[in-house]
Amino acid sequence: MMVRAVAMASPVERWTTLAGALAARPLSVLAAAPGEASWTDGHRLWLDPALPLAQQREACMAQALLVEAGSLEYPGLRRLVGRRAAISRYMVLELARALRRSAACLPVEFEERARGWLSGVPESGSVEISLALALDARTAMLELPAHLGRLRPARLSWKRVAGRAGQILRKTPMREARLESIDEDEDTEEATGKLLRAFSSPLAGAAGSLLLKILGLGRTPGDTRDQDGADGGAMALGEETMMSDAPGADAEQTARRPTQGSAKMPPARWHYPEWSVAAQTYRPNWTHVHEITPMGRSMAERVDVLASTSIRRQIARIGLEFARHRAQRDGPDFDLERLVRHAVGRHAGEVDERLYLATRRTRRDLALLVLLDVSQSTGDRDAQGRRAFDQQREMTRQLLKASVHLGDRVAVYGFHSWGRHLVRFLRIKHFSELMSPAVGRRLEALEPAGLTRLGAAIRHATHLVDHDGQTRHRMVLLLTDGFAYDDEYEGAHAEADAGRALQEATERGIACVCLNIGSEQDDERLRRLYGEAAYLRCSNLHKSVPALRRLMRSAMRQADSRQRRSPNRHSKEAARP
Amino acid sequence: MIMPRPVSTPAGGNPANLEDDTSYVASGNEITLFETAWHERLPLLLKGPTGVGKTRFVEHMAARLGRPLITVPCHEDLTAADLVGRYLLQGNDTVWMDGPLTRAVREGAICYLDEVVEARADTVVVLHPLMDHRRELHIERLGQTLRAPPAFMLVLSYNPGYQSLMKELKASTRQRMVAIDFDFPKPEVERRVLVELYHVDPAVADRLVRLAQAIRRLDAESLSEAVSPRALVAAGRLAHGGMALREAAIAAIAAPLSDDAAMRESLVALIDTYLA
Repeated sequence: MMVRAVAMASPVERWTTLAGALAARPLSVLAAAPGEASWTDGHRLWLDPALPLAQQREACMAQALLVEAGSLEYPGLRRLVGRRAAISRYMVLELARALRRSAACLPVEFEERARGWLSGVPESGSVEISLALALDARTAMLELPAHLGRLRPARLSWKRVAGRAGQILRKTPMREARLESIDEDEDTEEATGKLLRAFSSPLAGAAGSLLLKILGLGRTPGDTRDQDGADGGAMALGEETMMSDAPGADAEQTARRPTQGSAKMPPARWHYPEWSVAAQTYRPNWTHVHEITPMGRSMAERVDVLASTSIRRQIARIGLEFARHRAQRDGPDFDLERLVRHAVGRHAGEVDERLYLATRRTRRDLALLVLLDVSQSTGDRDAQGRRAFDQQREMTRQLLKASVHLGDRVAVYGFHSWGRHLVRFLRIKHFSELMSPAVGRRLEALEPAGLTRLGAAIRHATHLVDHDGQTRHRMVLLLTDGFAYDDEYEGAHAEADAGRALQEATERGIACVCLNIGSEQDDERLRRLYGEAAYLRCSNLHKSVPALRRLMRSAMRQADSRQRRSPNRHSKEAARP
Repeated sequence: MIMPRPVSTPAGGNPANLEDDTSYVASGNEITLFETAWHERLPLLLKGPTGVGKTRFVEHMAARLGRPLITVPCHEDLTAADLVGRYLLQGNDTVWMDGPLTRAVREGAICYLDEVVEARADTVVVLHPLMDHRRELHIERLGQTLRAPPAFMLVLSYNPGYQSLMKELKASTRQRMVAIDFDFPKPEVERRVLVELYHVDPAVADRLVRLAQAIRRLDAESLSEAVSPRALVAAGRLAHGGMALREAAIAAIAAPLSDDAAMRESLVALIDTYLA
C-alpha cells in the first residue's frame, strides 16, 4: 500500500530560495491573481504570475529586500493607510535603504538597475526617517517601476490588530463577518469606514468601544501634516503599541477564507489521502497540509515543574543501537590490535585477557518527533481552571530538553486544522535545527485554536520523521486531549481514518506513542486506536513519566516487527558489525 | 591496525603547485594570535564550520614559524596508542614505534589534531598533561615522561555546529586552550582568497561571493548547511579550468547542498540570477 506525500510546485515557487535569501528569513512564494500587483506580508510573498520571468524575479527581490530591512514591521505604518502618494514615497525610500544594507549580497545586474531607479532619492537612515519623509507632501520623488509591486499598509496593520480583535470578538458572528469583509477589501478608505461602522454599532457595547480605543480610531485632534488628500478626521491614528500577533487568532482569520472560495487559498505543500470507512477506500489528495514557523514570545520566569533528569532516564535506554566495544573479556571476534599487543606482551611477561570484540546496544540512534495538539479543545479549562494544553506544552519542553541532552535527533511540531484544506503544522523545531532560545519562544507563544484532523496530522508527521529522521529508530509522540474532530471529520469516520494513519506509520517502521495528559475527552477512542501498549492517559504530568519508557519501548517493538515483515519498505538497515 | 600517516609540510612552500602553497589571507587577528600563543607555549583550539580555512591557516603558520607540521585526522577508532605509539613485532624482537604525537613532542613540531571531536573522550584525555603548564607526555609502555620543548605546540580543530551533543568536546579539555573562532569570511576576504590564492578572475570572484553571501542568509531550515568557502573555490577552479560558470556553480554549490528536487530547482534559479 503506497502512501506518499506529494510536494506541489507552482511556477512561482522557484523563487522561494531567492526570496528567503534576500529576506534573510523563510518566505513562502505564492501566485497572486494574474495582473494583481505583487506584495508581501513579511511571511508570504504574492507574485504576479502574468509578469515575464525577469520582472517576476525583480519584484521578488525588491519585496524580499523590504522584508529584510524591516520596512513592513514598523507599527507607524498605519499612518500611511489611505495615502497613495505617501505609500509610494515610503516604498522608494525604504527600497533605497534596503539596497544599501544588502549591497554585498545582490546580483550585479540587479544592483545596477536598481541604482538607476533610485538615483536622486534622499538617503534615509531608518524606518522612522523614511516614514517622516514619506508623509511630507513636499518631498518630490520618482515612482518605482510598476512591476516591483506595492506596499499594503492597511493589510499589514490589520494583521497586527486582527489578533487582538479576534480574541475579543470571537463570540459575535456578525461582527466577525464584517471584519472578514474588511480584510478582503482593496480600497483602504472604504475599509476603514467599514471598520468604524462595525464597531460603532449599538451592539458593540463595551467590547466595541474598548476596541476602538485600542485601535486608536474615533475622532482625535487632527494631524497638521495631513495634507495629502486623506480623509480628514477618521484616520488620525494614535501611536499606541499594538499587541503582538497572537498566532491562534490570526490562524482563525486565515482559516475562514476557504469558505469564501478556495481561489484565495495559497497552495499547500503537501497533500495526503484520507480513509473513508464508509466507502472502504482512500480519497486521494484529500487533505492539504501547510507548514509555518510561528512567531515567538519571550518566556516569563518559570520554575521547572519536573526534574528533567527523570524524563531523561526514561528515554535514555530507548532507541539504542549497536556499537562496537573493543578489549572485551569475551565476544564473537578477536580484537586484532589487542591480539598483537598480547603477542608482544607475552615476551615481556605481560598478560591481558581482554582480547575480544563485542557488540552491544550502546549507541543512540533515535529520531523523535513530538506532535503537539494545538487545537481549541485543549485550551478548555477544567474545574480547577487548568488547561490540558499547558500540561502538554510542559511535557513537550521536558522531552525536548531530555532528547537534546542525550543527543537524539528531535523535532517539535504543533498542529491544528480548519477543514480538510487547511491542516496546519507549526514548526517549533525541525530536525536539523539546533536547540536555541528561539525554539523555546515559539513554544511559549502557542495558543490553542482550530480543530483536530488527526489522520492528516499523523500522516504528515510520519512523512517528516521518515524523511528527516535519518536514523534507525524513528518515533512520533503525540500529545493530545484526544478529541479528533474537524469539518466532516468525526465519529466513526475520524476514528477509522486516524487508525489507518497509525497503521501506515507502523508499517513504515515508525513507532507511535500517544500521551493524553490532563484531559478526560474521548479517551476510549484513542485507547482503541493506539492499543493499550502505546497509549497513556494521565491526569497530570508527574504521573505520566514513570510509564514513558514502557510505552516507548512497546511502540518500538511493534514498529520493528511490522517493518521486518513488509519487504517493500525502503528501509535503512542498521549497520550490524 | 594502521598508524595514521603524519603529513609534514616543510617551512615555505612551492607556490607553483597549488597544493604546496601555504599562503593565506587573514580575516582578523588570527595570525598574531597564533604567533603569540606559540611564543607563550599555549595550546590552540580552532573552532568553526567546515571549509573555512582552518587547515590552510595552520599550514601557513607552521611555514611562517619555520616549524614542521604533523597533522592527525581524528576519527572514532583513534586510540591513545595511535597517538602516542606502540610496540611492534620485528622478527622475534619488539620494537617501539613513536606515534605522531610523540614525534611532534620530540621534534618540537606543531601537532595538529583535526576534528578532534570525532575521537573518543578517553583518547583525548591523553592530551591533557600536554595542554597545561606541565607540557608533559606520559608514555606508560616505555615508562617515560617527555617534556615538550618550547617550540612544540598543540593545535586542535573542531566544528561546534555538529548537532549531536554526545560528541561535544569536554569542558575540561576546552578550558585548557586558547580558542580562535573561524566564521565564514567577510566578502572582501573571500574575494581576495579566490583571486590571490586560486587565480580566479576578479569579476567572476565578485559574482561568486555575492551568491554565497545570499545563500548564507537563508534560514537554517531551508538548507541543512551553508555554502562553505571551499565550495566557492571549487566553483571558481572549475570555471578557471574552462567550464561555464553557471554549470560550475551548479556542480560545486547547488548539487552538494540539497537532494530535494524542489530545493534544487530553487537554488538553480538563484544561481541563474547571480551568475547568468
